[in-house]
Amino acid sequence: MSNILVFCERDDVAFEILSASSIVSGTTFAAVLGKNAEERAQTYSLYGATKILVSDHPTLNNFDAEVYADTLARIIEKNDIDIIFCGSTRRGRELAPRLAQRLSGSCITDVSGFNESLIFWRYTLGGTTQEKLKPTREKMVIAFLPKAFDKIERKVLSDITQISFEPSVPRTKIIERQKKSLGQANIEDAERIVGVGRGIVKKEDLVLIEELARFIGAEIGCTRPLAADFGWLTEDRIIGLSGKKSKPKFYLALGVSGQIQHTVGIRDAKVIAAIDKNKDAPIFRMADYGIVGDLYEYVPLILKRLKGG
Amino acid sequence: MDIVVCVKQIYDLDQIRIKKETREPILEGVPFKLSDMDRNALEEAIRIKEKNGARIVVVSAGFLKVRETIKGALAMGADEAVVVTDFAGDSSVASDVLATLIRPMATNLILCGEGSSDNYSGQVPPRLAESLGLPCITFVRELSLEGTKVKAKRDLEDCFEIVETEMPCVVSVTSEINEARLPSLTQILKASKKPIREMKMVECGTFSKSLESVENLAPATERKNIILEGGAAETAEQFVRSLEKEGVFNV
Repeated sequence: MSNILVFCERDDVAFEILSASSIVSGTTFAAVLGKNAEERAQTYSLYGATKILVSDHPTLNNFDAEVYADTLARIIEKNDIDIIFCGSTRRGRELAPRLAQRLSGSCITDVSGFNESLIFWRYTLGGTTQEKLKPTREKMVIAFLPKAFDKIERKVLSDITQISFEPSVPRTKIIERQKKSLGQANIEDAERIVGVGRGIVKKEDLVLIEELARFIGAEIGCTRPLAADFGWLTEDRIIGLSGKKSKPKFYLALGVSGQIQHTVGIRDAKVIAAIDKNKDAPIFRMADYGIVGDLYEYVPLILKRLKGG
Repeated sequence: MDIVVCVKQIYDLDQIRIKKETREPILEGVPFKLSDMDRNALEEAIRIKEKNGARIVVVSAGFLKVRETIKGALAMGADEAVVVTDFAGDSSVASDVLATLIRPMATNLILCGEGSSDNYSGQVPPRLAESLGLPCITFVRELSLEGTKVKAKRDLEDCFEIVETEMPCVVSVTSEINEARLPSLTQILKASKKPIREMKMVECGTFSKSLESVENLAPATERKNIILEGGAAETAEQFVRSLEKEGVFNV
C-alpha cells in the first residue's frame, strides 16, 4: 500500500492519470493548484481522487516549476507520499525532474504506459526501442504523456482540504504571455490524421492535401521540417518525439519517409497507410497499406474515388 | 562572462539496426555524435561570446570515444572541455556528475539542450538547477542577456512566455533557437590544441542509479504491410477499398 499523489496543471490530463492509477493500491491524493482551484477540485472526485488538496493562492496562478515543485514537496512530506504521477506536458517535463531531484527520487518522463508492478515504459534511442524501467529509489516522480490513458469516471467520496502554507517566491519573473497564433489543430485528439513530409514540393500544394483531409474529416499533421524550417504549417501540427503524439484510428502518410523521430508520434495508430515514391522508405515497414508512387498522382485519384466519381 | 554548456554524446541514431530475432538494438560499432539540441545550446553560447565576449567550457558525462565527440564542440567554438570518460547511469546520475564538474567553476550561465535526441527525457536541466540551487528556464527559443539578467522566450504548448531571471541560472533551448554552425577545417585543426580535462567517475564521487532497465527492445510491429505498386487508377481503387474495409472513414 502506498500513498499516491496525482498532479497536472491540465485537469484533463490529471483525470487520465487518475483513471489509470486505479491499478496501484493505496490512497490516491490529488493536488489542485492555482486559478479556481476550489471549484475545479469538485470534478477530481469523479475520477477516483479520495484526498484532494487545494490551493488557490495567487502566487500559484502562474506555473513556476520551482514554486510548484516546492509546494508539492511539502504536500508529499506531510502526507507520507512515495509515488507522484504527473503529466508530461512541457511544464510537467520541467516540474517532474526538479521535484525528483528535491526528493532524491527516481524520475521518468514521457511515459506511455505502466503495470501494477510499477514498471513504466517509454520510447528511447530516438524512438527505435521501447524501454521498460523500474524506479529504484524510495520516491518516484513519473510524468505520463497526455492521452496515454483514457479518462474513466470512477466516483468516490473525497475530502477536499485547503493547503494552509504560503508558496515560496518565484525567482523567474513572467513579463508577458503571447498566445500562440495557432490553427485549430488538435492532433492529440484527432480520429484521423493526414501526415505530410518532404514529399510535398511547395506550400501551395497543401491545398490538395487540405481538400482530402477535409473530405475524410482528418487533421493535418506534419514532420518537423515542414513547420519548423519551412514554416508551411503551424508548429502545433508537428508529430513526433519532440512534437505531438497521437493514437488516431487512421494515419495516412503522404510523402513522409518515416524517420523514427516522426513515426514514434503515431506508432499506436490503429491503421497506418502511406504513399511515397521511394519503395525503400521506412514508412512502408510500419504501414498496413501502402502505395509506392507519386502522391501528386494518387491523391487526386483517391479523392475522386471517395467522392464517388 | 563564463558560460558552461552541457553536451551529451549519443549514438548516431540513423545507424542503429535491430536484431530481427530478438528485437534488440545493435549498438556495437555505431558511431557517436553530439546530441542535436546540445549543438543549438553551444551555438547560442558562441553567439553570446561573439557579441559580448565569454569563455565557454563544455562539460560532458561521456564514455568510449567521448574525446572525439567533444572535439566537435571545441571546433564549433568552445574554449575548453571537462569530460567524464567512463560514464554509466541514468539521467539522475548524469546530472549529479555534471553538477560535480560545474560546482567548482565560476559560472554565469549554464546552457543545455532541452532534451537529448536519443532519450529525450529532459531531466538534466531541471535536476542540475535544483542541485546547484539555481533558477531554470526551459524550452527557450529566444535568449538575450541584459546586465545581470537573462531574458528568454519560452515555447510552451499554448503560448510563448517571456520571462526573466537573475544569473547564474540554467537555460535549456529548443532546436528552433538557432541553426548550429558546421566548423571549418581550420577550426577543426585548431580544436586539437584546446584543452580537454578527462576525469573518471570515481573522482567525482559515488553515485547510485535511480532506474533499472528491465527491457529495451524494438516494439513488435503487427502491421499488414500490404504495399501496392504501379497501375494508377487500379491501385488507387484497391487502396481505398482496403481502407474502407478497415472502416477508417466511418464516422
